[in-house]
Amino acid sequence: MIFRPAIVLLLLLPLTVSSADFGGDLVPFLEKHCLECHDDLSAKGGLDLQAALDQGLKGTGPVHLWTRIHDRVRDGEMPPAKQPRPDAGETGGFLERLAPDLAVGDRNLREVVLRRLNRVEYEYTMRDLFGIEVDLVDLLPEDQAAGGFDNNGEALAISAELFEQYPVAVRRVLDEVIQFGPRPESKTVTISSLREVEPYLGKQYAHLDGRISTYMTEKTQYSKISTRDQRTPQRGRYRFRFTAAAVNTDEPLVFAVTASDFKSAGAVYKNLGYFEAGKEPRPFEIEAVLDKGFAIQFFALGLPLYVRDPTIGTHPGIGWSEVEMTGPLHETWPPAPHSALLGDVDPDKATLADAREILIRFLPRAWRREVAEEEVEVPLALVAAALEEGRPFEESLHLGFEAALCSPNFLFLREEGEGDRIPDPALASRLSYFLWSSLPDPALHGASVAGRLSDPAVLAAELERLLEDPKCGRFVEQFTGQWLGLRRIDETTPDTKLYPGFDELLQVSMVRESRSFFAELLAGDLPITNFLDANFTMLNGRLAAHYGVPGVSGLEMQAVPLPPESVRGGILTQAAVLKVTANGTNTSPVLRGVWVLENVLGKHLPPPPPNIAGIEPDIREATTVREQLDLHRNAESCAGCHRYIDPPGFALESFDPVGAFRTHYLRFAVNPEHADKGWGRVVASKPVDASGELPTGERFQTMEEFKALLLAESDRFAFALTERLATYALGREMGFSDREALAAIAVKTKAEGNGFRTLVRNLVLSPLFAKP
Amino acid sequence: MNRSSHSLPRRHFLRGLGVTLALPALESFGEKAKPARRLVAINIPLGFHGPNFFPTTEGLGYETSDYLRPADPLRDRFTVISGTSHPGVDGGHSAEKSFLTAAPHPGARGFRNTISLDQFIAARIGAETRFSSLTVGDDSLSWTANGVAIPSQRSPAKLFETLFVSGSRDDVSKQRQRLQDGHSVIDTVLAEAQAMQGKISAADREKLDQFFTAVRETEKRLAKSERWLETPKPKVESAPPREVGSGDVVTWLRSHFEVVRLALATDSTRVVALSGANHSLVPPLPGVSMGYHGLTHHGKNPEMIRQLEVIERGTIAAWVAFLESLRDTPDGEGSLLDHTQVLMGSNLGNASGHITTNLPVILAGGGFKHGQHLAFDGKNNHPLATLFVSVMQEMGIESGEFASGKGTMRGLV
Repeated sequence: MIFRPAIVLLLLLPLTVSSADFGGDLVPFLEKHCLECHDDLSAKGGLDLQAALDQGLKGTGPVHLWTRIHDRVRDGEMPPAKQPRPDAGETGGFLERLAPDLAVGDRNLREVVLRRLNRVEYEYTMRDLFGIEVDLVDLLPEDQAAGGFDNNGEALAISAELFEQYPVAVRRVLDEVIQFGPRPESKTVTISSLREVEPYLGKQYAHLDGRISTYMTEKTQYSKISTRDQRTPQRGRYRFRFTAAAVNTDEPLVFAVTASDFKSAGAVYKNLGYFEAGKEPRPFEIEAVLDKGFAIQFFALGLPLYVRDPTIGTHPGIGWSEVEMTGPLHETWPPAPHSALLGDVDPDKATLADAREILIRFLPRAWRREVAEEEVEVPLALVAAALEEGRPFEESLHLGFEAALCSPNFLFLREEGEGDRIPDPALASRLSYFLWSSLPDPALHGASVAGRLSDPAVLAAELERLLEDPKCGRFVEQFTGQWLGLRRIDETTPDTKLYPGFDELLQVSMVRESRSFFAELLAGDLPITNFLDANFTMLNGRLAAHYGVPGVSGLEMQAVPLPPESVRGGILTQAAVLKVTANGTNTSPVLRGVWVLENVLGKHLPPPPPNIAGIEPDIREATTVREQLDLHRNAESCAGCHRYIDPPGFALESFDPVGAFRTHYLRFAVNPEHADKGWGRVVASKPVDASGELPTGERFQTMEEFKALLLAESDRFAFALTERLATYALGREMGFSDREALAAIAVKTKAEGNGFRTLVRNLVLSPLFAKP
Repeated sequence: MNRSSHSLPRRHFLRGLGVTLALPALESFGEKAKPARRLVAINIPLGFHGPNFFPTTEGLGYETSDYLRPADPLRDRFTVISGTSHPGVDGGHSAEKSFLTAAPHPGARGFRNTISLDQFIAARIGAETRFSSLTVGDDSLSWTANGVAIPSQRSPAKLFETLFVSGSRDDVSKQRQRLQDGHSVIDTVLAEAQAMQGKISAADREKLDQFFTAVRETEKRLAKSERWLETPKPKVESAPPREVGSGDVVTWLRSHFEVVRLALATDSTRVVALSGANHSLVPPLPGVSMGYHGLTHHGKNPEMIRQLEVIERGTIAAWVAFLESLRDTPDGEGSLLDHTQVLMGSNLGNASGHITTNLPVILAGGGFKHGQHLAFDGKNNHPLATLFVSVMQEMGIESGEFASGKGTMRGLV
């Protein structure tokens, strides 16, 4: 199937389409080819064309409906294959008559609606604005999403539940930044786990060469090897130094470090990283900002959950020395964020004039634009009133900051302006929130205020600078988290009996593969077809073992060329993607198929008709999901969508719920003699049939053949990817009236080598990116 | 907490001590107060195994089912309902979002939820109690009218703390200052938002309106908090519950039920939405070695079903114990159970197939006669929201419909 976007001359279009004007010239085609099934009496599939014509093109419902009608006719899906077909001329004519009105109706829906900072952006903005490390996401309720992303202006709601939390967040931030008190003393203490471990020495733990060693992986979040004996005395940055070594093995072993306050009511756990311990003891150093009362603990990964008499014999393990904790660390006092915000003001002598100075410096950055003098007086009035009541300077100033940071000027991205382009300061924000999930830095802010962003060369240079900055990792995380579903990686726990090899390290590694692969394509401007199939992927030792790729070791992700016979390569074969599209125990071709359609092929399907009995999987090996789905696909009302959904789903049946390649389904066979204890073993059951047929009639037997068919349609993927990027970058959904602009970006990128970085650049430099 | 069968409301008792309290509007003295009506709405997200749950016969003399046998002594205090679901609510686990709202297609792109039953009721009666409602459990069942989920409290210990533990006197004056500061900040913020209105497009103005509504609602809540600031939180005899996570499915549920009972008994709230465990952890129950969520995808494997039954029986036992504890708590002239409706159900009729029809539902307590299995059509389900209308009317709320429920549930007595 050739993918051809509709070309429309938007400049000559009226602003709205009245219902009375609409559709008269469509009637002949509709009468001849559609009305038999879709008149008001039959209304097959719920579509009554007469009502659709009367409704016109005002509003989301009608526009989506007519877009769907347009697309189904364009793609030859309607009229259905069994009916007499219109010839190319008739179809072309119909589409050409519908497109202009549809574009106008759609365009009225495509303005970026006043977009508030979502909670991730809120936290990053506070971190960058004040230069501090602080956790705020936990304070704010979950965000709403639309079009697959949670930075959609229209979807993001503002509720009292959200608004009443903002002052709490501001308090947390200001408590971190403002430090009028004396410099806290930095101490170094040495902390041993011996007290807690001692009763178990010689049983689960050993004490050798000054290191306490464990031979098992912990099931819980509690490890006896920790710094609990001396917790952090106050909030601050701390450095932890220790040595670690692997015991009884030549292979390096991996351990995790977490920090916790161990509070019984809602303990907080923070992961501080994964590390490799080798045969030779070596020193480690970790720095982290921690609240008062925190301790760190060590967890060995990849070891058995239970070993009898582990200290006897040569069981592999990891040993850690005592930990030297230094802190709270401060390079300067008062800390840099304090001085940057408040200068050297003395709280005992400060006056309203000092407060005014501080706000004059602060507001333009916080509100991401120039701020007039009268505007400063508004939050300042609260400070003045408090000072007059005799309240201390710090407390009074706090009110001014609270007002500034609860203001719609801070909470929303303001993009008002005239014409086709948002003003430069708004463009700067749009760019920085796209790539950094945060406010512009002083350089970008300066360029925007001076009006230089309207020069494409300057915009391109700023774009490059933002892409090079490590903060760009936030774009990688937020975009892949939603496009590839990686945020949902924790939602299922794979059946431990069927997939015993699955552990925390594997899960972490698979997420890192997908993120670093994306980042690699961006950094190297590699062709976007690599998303569909690639001759390399990003692996560390653990993930390489999972995929059966030899010769890779270590914790760090590295680019590894794939052997030609490897089934891996591209996002569809990445374990993380395969896990989030399964449910931990079984896979579903429908779930995976829908994911491929929406996120790779850009095809959106309506929900199933009501009152459809869902499939109840029968894993007693009587039937496979494929066999059960076949029953559905033969029903006419189901086939319409399932002929699209099932084929990619079937190809992906070659991968189990944890992303391993499989030729057979697995099941756990309980041993009848030990049924009460649930003992048994994993056995292979029915073979996997990963073959399928695309709606075009093209067939494939394996995943490789399916990928080849996808590559032949790579233009379609390019458009879909461009649409996904634009949806995220602009904070609104794309529609019929955007297709021309999106296609232009994809076509230009292809002509320039189809590189991913090129695609991002072409998007940012396009008129679409600056549209209100 | 004084458990004697005092027929007068607690506020009367305090007044008699000569304590001056800034209390919200009081009923007049000497009059027997009408007992307040309450609702506890419970969703068990991973459902119940149908063949064990539903009785095979219907009507008043129905033969109890395997799962409901332990509840049979209480049979005249509840109604089992089958053959119902919310029309258009599909999407497997996403249907949790629509359990109390009945909004269709919760799994679809661009889904916007509508107001949930508990919030609808709380908007009408919530001003009378310190907490207009409680949203408890792993996920949230509570949604505001503009489609925002109210965060839920997962921890029974923290819930107890919120309800019954106050700060020191010093904290109270700091709190008052904070609330007053909150008002000043809100005034400023509203002024700035008003200044913005003239400069933005029509679509943006709608969003700004949402902002205004949120800010004004926050202001109302600040004012309510101020009114309650001087009223000490109720004292209860029970010790705070141990911290327990939803991994220990049954203990956690029992713990929540007990705190909820205390909340109702002290009139801290009259509306509770509770969502049960929804995770893949292995509950520490005898004979259970696999994760809860995984077990619900048993695919008809008998061993997995056996393990799932252990968890589900435990859940039902906790529910029975909850009903019994409400029955044994005096409230006015009767018991808490007389004045509290307990609606328990699931958004899944069949978890193994993610099927959202033929939902398991039981309504207990309140003023209904109960004692029957009310069976609707399994092939053509009756809209569950009619039950919501019946529930609301029993609470004295005059509402003739709710979402897809266009009247009360026929046959419910």
